[in-house]
Amino acid sequence: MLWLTWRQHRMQVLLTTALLAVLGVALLISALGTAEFAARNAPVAGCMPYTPPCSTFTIAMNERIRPLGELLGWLPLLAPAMIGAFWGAPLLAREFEHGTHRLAWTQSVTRRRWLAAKIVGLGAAVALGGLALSGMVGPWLAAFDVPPFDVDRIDLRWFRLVGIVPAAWWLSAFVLGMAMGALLRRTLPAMAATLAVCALAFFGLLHAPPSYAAPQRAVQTKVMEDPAPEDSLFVNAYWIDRNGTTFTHEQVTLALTGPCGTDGTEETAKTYATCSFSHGYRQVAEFHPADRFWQFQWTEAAILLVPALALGGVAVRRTLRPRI
Amino acid sequence: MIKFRLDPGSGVATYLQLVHQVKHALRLGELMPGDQLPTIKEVVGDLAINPNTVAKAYRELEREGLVAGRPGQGTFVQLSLRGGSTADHARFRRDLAQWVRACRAAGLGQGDMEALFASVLADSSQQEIA
Amino acid sequence: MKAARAQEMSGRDPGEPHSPAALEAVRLTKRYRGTWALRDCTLSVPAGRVVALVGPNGAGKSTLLHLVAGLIAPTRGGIRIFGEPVGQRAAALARVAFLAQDKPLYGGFTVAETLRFGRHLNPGWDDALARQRLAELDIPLNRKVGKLSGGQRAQLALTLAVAKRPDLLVMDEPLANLDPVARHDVMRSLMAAVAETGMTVVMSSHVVSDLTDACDWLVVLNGGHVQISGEVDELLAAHRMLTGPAELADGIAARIPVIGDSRSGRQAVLLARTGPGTPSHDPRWRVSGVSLEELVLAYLRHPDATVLPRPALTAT
Repeated sequence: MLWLTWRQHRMQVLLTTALLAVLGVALLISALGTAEFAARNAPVAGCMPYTPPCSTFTIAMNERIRPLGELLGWLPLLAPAMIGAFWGAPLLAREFEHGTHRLAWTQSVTRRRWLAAKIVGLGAAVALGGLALSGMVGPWLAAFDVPPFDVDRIDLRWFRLVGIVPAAWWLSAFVLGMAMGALLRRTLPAMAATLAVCALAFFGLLHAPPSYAAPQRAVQTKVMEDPAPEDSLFVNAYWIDRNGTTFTHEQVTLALTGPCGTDGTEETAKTYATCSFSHGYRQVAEFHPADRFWQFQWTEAAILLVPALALGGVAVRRTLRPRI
Repeated sequence: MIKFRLDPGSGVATYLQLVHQVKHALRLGELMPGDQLPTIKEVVGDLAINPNTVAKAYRELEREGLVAGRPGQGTFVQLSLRGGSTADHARFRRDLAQWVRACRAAGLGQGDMEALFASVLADSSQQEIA
Repeated sequence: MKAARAQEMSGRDPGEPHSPAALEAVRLTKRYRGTWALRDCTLSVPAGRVVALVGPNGAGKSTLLHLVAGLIAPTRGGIRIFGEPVGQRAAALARVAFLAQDKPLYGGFTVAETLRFGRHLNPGWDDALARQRLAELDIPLNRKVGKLSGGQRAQLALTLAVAKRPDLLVMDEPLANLDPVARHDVMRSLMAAVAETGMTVVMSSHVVSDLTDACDWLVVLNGGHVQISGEVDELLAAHRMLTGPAELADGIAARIPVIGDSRSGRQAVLLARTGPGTPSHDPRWRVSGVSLEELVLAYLRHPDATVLPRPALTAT
């Protein structure tokens, strides 16, 4: 049975494997080069931010991470859409379209077993593919995480490329495509519907992770560079006065125009902040600490997989029922 | 080995056509005792007819004692329907050929000859009965 | 080996009275969104037969065959194949092979991969039979299925069904869309397979002449009902074409069932169910046999006339 699944879908499997392999090689080359560069050029520990040696290094690292980083930035949208459209949608739709379900269903194998071999076999391959992607991106990112250059896995730029989230996206897109194929019974409409739902889900969830939990709140007690702790996921920043009333940055600036001058260049920033503090304003930061990474990963996986598997269940039930 | 053919317009049941063709071949000496009839698979693979039809024809021939099935080998001819010796056959054939030539010379067509032959045949069999 | 199989064939009795029917439908009914495709079809076909399922388009032939193959479920009633109900069990699926009208095959597979498909999905697969058939038909194993001719495709689909070694082979319009040579070739190799395996075959067609010599059991479906089910020879023996004076036709019709009745001027041609044996008759009537095609046409034109299964017909 698995032979049949492999024979029918080997194009998709081989192409996806090849693309992952090419990406893997690119990531490996980039990671090795960066590790070597960082070993030679990273400033000694405790370098002050915005000082020339630090800036030179961070700028260089940023230049190194950018090309592949931009390419990878497309993957959270493109990869699940392609998996859904080319792995999932044709899985059953093509059988219905060509009438080959009548061939497959009249062999000595029950419909249930036939369907299980297809869905479980390819579903496992899809999940493995997603895990392979994060398994490659993770070490690559780690090669860049050399202080003072900072790479956070919880950062939305990387969040959907590491951990279990890629696998969850891929798998749910695959199940979605399969279900669309089973319900629409035609390949092209099933592909179109899958692409549409994938895009909708992507843009719907694009900025969702910060709302997966109530953010932590930190009130600034002294003048500092960044109110949120390092490696955390920044959500929001605002000002409060002694009574706890919240102000936006603009409101505070407007109120302090007289006493503190303007918040302009870098040199005056500190003076300006000190002045704001003296007038009783405190800056508040909302953020998610880095250790919420896995909680957020599982939350997003559940948000994707629960509806996808429910829809997949409906599609499987309809396919197993002896109809036309 | 005999090769069957069907005449779809004859109105004769298919199995009877097969029986007649075997008997015809037995009379003409095309099939002799010991000869094998084609297997059912061979016949149906050639004529695209139902195997049960062939089986029925062979059963009919077996019933008449003309052929016999040997388990695991096939169906074989038991009896010849040919009357007279081979020498007699050759002589009658020669005589008949001479008669046909004479008819032709007298201007008789094929239909005329067939009608004449059939009529003489009928007359002689009536005389035999009488 | 071949001879041995053929010998077994000739010795067997096609209608053994105590073996369960190859196909038995009881009050089988299928309804699609308010329209009845089949209504109360009761049917019994003995094992070892080659059954012609005929009827006009839309009579419910495909529906009946899909029900037998287990592709769809009946609204009411049931079907048994060799005494076992149809259903999604591997053992039940293995006994029936189905050849759909459009002969679906995986176009991207090679012929050899198509055989591998059959081998992987059927425990009773007869690979030697499949390869021998394809060799006889000159179908190369390395050819892509999508590149085969219509006739070769039909032969490959048939090979796939036969090599499964089913007890019952169900075919929906197996000869539709084939040219005359391919029709004859498919029929020849089908009959050879029947001779070799002794399986029961049910095939539909709306062209009766395609099936005349191949089938020994006739089922006529008309408007979702079974109109005729019986052995071809018995049906033919029980019907006669009567040609005679028109003024006496009504008198005949009063005595024996007349299915077909066409009159022109003073002459009447009646297709009558005279029963087995030659009827004693008025010398003014000329009596002749009927062809299967004439019989089917006459019944299709008179949907109220039926020849339904009787125990005497199923146990010869």
